[in-house]
Amino acid sequence: MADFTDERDLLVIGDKQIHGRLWLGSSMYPSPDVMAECFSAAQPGFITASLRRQTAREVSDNGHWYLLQKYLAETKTRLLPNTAGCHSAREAVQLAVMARELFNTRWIKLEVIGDEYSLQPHSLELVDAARELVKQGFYVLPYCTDDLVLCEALLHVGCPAVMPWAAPIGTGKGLLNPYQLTTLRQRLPEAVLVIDAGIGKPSQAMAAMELGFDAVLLNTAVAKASDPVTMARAFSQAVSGGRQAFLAGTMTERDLASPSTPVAGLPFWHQQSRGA
Amino acid sequence: MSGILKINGIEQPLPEHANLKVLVLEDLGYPEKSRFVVAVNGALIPDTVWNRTHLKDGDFVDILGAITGG
Repeated sequence: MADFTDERDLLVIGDKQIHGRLWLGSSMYPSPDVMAECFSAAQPGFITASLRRQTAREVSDNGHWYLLQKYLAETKTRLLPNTAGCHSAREAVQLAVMARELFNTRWIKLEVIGDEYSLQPHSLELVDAARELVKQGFYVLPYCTDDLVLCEALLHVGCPAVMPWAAPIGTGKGLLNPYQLTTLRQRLPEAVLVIDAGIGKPSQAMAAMELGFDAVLLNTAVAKASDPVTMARAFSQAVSGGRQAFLAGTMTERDLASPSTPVAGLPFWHQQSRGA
Repeated sequence: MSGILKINGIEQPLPEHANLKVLVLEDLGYPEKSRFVVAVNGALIPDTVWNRTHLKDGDFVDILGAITGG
């Protein structure tokens, strides 16, 4: 795979360098081996995981976790545990503390769901949980909506980045509100902004990066592709291309056509029309 | 001693020894070297203090391991 990494274009969150702008979930792959191949193809900056009640047998026989650990040990990819399934700040803080112990990391993808139907985050509980976890020394990366005031509040309590949704989790609908996402980028120029959730195609990830988002986190779009490994590679290239386009600076859109080829010096047709 | 525990949401008799370490590693058979964490009534109990943790009637014990996630 072509390597578009630019050593001058580092992604730093908090005081840590993140070695990749595509971040992947670890769920729903056809097999542990396919999951590991996708990680190798995408070389993600973060891989997300979670924790749940398990029996002794489930703890012992955990192929996905075994391969995920192996991949993490061999690469610079970081693990990002989540608090998926939590509906209150109290639950999320409890689960985050357990995740820190289980995975031996201070990174946490903070999820507090407010609406079961859309999986929309609960904005008020989210800020409360973020404030407490930052106080406890976590690097809190909150999954949130694209609400500007909410993102500002999360940054204000000490989150080193915010992760607004593009569309509801698992829908693959892409950037439902580009205007709002553009506004976020313009109003929060110094913030690390990561699109989390709703991306279905590489072109959508690329569009997010062209808007100036710093990274994209997705899972279903790769895991549920007909060929997950090829799709992981496609997303990697799209994210890289989108980032380069943002850094290069896109042209200003115009309403009127303007010829690309110089008109001056064009032979024949001026004379022909005059002679007609 | 008699009583009930809820272990991962399922009611079980409180064992006579009432000791968290014995419960988890011996009674329930969790592998010592594997990764999992234990909470009692929602609070994380580090493995260094399992041996000193005594359970009582009505306690909730949650044993969590790593799973995939998005």
